[in-house]
Amino acid sequence: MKHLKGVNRKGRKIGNTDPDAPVVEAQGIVPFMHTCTSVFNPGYENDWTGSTKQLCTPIETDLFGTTDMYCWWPGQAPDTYNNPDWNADCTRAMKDWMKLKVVKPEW
Amino acid sequence: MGNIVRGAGAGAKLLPHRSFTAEGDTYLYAAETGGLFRMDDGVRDALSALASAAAGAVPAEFVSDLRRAGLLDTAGRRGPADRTAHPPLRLRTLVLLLTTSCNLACRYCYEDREEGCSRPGDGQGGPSAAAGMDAPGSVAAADGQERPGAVAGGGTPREMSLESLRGAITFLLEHDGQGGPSAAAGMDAPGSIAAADGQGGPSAAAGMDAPGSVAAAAGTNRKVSVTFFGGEPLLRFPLIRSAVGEARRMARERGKEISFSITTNGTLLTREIAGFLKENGISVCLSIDGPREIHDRNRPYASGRGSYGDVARGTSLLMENRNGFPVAARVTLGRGAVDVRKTFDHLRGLGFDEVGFAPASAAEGSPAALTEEELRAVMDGFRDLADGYVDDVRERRVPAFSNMSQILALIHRGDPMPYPCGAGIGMLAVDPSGTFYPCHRLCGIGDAFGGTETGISEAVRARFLEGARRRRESACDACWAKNFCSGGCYHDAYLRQGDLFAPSVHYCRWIKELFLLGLQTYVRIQNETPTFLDVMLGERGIA
Repeated sequence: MKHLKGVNRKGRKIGNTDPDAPVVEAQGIVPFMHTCTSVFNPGYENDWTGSTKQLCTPIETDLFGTTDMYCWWPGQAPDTYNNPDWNADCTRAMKDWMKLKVVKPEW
Repeated sequence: MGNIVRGAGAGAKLLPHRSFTAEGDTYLYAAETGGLFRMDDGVRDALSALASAAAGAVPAEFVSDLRRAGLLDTAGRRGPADRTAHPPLRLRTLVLLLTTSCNLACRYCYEDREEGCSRPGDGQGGPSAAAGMDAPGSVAAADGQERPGAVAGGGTPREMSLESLRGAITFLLEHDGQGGPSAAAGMDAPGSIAAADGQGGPSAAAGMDAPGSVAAAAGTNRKVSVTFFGGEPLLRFPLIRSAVGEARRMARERGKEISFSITTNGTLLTREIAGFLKENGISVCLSIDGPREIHDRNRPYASGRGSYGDVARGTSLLMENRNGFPVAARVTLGRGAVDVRKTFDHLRGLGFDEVGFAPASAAEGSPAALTEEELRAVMDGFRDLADGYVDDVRERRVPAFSNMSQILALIHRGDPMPYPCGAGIGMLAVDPSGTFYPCHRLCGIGDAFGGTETGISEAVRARFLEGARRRRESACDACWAKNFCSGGCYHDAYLRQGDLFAPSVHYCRWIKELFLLGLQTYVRIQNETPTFLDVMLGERGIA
């Protein structure tokens, strides 16, 4: 912002966001797709091989498979550079997903 | 100047904000986002244009800045007010009303003498019946035996029994939240709901969750705290003594950490009690109104004799037995006792680390309520103390004016605050019979939330929070100070207007002045010592 300069934490946060960035809307801008289906592939019923092995699963049952960048519509997960331990206690996602750490923005 | 885009600002609605000058610059506080900004002259002109019919002539770059700062209405994008889910109960602080008896007869006491605070011995031989009104110090030595559950006149008990207390602490330790991760998702993003009910009480802030609390989302709070409250809780010292040991053991068994605090009038402190408080790391908030002439006017014994001498004696025992926690003084400003500076200096002289002020809660027209003129005098005193606060920060002393610390913390974080305090969210109170209420002041007022046996009724809790939110959305929606007071103390509104959810309009002007003072002080401190607030808030665990 050119004319307003953030003074408190919230003000600085607002000021530091990129003014040219669009208002955040989830977009499927992913380099290429992998595993999940899109409108051009077979639907949810079966995958391109005709089986169901590669279909979408609920995030809880395939946490790490559905949050990576190769997903068409990845589940939201904390970035591992700033939050290396966010899934430290979650060795078995299906069973331990409640132990995932919640990461909140410093706002 | 950028292109003038006709119509860029036309039709845009200015959202609540406050502009002010400090240190020679102009600043802008946006209530929708909680952002505080320094603004240039162009923004000032744009604001006045937007407020008038010339909105269409505002250059687009200003419109864009204002929109981002949260000054302009954007269709479909509003603050937390639009959310439908209430925050889950994330119980961290439980206030225990150990007794409704008190050995003082403060002139401004909000407890109804019929129902609430009563003289020790009014019940049927409660544990403190032996304590003479004017015999401070004699209670703790009374007999060390608890006779639980004295019931006055067959009504609700006035003394908490050890069983009730055990039940309450078990509830606190085993309460796993109502929500779990999915309910927590309905919360406001940044942990939110900052402190201040403005009316003091036993560390209202303690009932709040620290921002980004992981435990909240997991549905459990590993750290919990208990506040001993009354009446005068030291009338039940034997109960406190057994409760502390037992609660610690119970907490250990459940892998939790428990801490304790007590709000007391200080008259019953003995060397033994002070030693106990020190040994057990119990933080103390002491109600004292200032020098003898001010204190005795509003805080006498029932006989009329002033209590200052006994409080001062208790204070010195506390100071001899400091346990590393700051010792806080809580000053109630009652009619005729509004010399803020004198009171502050006196209490600092007695050794208090923090001094917080709150106007007496009183019904309209009551002799305890401060007059307009007195409220003005209080504000002048606060301005004076705010100057001192800035000096303290500059010279690296820990400032003691705790009202200001609280306001500065709110401004610094800038979180929207949908509820005025943690009542019913992070904090609950339990009355002597083991019944839950949203806070210690609301015991017996409005619907009970449940009991230690039955648990919390989510329907009642939701109704309570809905009332609070409706107030903020209707009466307070257009107010720039809504993130600071969120409609004010429920109990104060009840006393004044007979409705928990009536906005505290009688304080509006005063509170706005106070927050403006906070904003100006904030700017002064940020300009001189920009690291102070991060350090202070970090130390208090609220940043």
